[in-house]
Amino acid sequence: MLVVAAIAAFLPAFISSYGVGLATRFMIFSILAISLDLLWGYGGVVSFGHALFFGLGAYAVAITLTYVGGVSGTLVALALGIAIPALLALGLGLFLFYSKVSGVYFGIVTLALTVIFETIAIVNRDFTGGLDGLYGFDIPTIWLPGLGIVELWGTINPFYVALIGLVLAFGIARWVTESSFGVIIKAIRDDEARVEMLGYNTAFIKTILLVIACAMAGFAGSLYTTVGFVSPALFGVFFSTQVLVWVGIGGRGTLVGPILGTVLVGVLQTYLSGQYEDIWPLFVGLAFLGVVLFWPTGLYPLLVHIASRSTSRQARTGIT
Amino acid sequence: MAITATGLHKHFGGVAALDDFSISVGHNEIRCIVGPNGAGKSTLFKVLAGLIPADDGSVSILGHDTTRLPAREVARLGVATKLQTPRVFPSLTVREHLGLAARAQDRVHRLLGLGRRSESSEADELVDDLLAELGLADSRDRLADELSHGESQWLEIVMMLSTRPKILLLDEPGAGMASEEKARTAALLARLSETVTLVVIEHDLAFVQLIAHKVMVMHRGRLLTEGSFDEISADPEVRLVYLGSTH
Repeated sequence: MLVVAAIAAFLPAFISSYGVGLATRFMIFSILAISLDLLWGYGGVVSFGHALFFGLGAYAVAITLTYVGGVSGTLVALALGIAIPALLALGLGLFLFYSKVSGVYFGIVTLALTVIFETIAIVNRDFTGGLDGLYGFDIPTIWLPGLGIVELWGTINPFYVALIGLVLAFGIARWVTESSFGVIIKAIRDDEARVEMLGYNTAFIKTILLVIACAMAGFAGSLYTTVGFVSPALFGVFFSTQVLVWVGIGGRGTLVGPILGTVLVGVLQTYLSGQYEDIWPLFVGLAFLGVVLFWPTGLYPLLVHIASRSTSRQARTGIT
Repeated sequence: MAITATGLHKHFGGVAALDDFSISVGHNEIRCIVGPNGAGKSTLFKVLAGLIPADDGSVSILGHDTTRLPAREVARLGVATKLQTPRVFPSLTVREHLGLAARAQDRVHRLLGLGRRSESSEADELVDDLLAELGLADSRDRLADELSHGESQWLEIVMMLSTRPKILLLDEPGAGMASEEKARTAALLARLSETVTLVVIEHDLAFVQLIAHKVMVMHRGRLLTEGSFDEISADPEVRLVYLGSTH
């Protein structure tokens, strides 16, 4: 991952500023996809409304920066952008998982919450900008040793912030999944009742997982404000569905797969939406169906499978 | 007594799975429970393990009233339960199973184990010996999904032992095993009874004969009879229930 990130760091030198902007969005969305992968791919908890936590993070930062600016304002905004989704996740986990709400029912609750928050964002026009969204808030700024105050604006700075954010999120996700906690959540995904029979409080474990995943989604949403605009669509059902598609196509339970899925679908979507303005979601949907039907584990495991077969074939050829 | 349950009742619709059933099991005993299909054996296990509540009656395990405790609380008292079909975790390795079980009694901060690599968790000496004895020592890094049925049964038993239990509830531990595997399992259970109390449901009477200190025969949710293996196998009522004949 670090090697790929190091290579990606040189991208702005070779592609247009439009391309850099797209890459920035893809990286931010990849963080969101990784957070869903933690929840769905590793923990087996399907959230149909995961964009809710991304939207909350984005709005928390945008609203805070409307009132408070500068480096300290940005830090407060980022803290709120992570803490608010995390607190909502904590409440949801304590309420739903401890009430034994799981599977598709959990997904439906998150879907309903998405619709509620989207409506709140539309109705509270004075506070959230309504359907027009929120823009014109203070430019997020950070202080870096040697560079001083850096504005996260334009194309280059947000690109590098998103890149660092993605490496950080990937590292945290790897750390979580490879720890003993990661083993417990995979076991819960396989057979929750059996884990409970060993003496674990699975509702507590799933709540912690939900908090981590939603805090990460909020972090992604916070970074999204560097594009300078947030809108109720960030809470939308369509956006939540897209995240599921990214993870599903890329390969859940792999961490790398969701990044691959986000970038592939993002590129496909950018191309198709230019060519077929109205019906491009149909093509993305068909691509998702194709992957689900023919390679349900997703593209990344497929690529690994192909690569390992080709390696073993080369090894065989070498021997004979 | 390790386990004392009295006056247990459990109905599913109009069917009485447990009908005023009582059981007392002493420490380090191997108690076998036999009976035809539908006798209520598995229901009894689920009630003892806290997986389902009894409609009436009480359960006491190691001196604690567990009648209304959920499965995880019963497990934390030192009760490890294996249900009828092997329930291991397909996407975990053998090593991860052992670590998962070993940490089950840990407190929250250790339990979360964030940042601690899963491989670092050690299985204790008994578990190491058992893995070697059961031929799983070289399979530590294999996924449970890749194991045979018999190996999965053993893995589940070794995983349960990794929780350092005081009581083992085993529902058909020899199911689906070849005769040689069954003999090894019987020897293993006999060895375990030196430190652990075992309650075993088993259909295979030859297996029961190998391990049981005492046998209870259940029929339609009630206790039909109990005694040594020789006593119950000579009982004409048991023969009638099991074989439909007293001859």
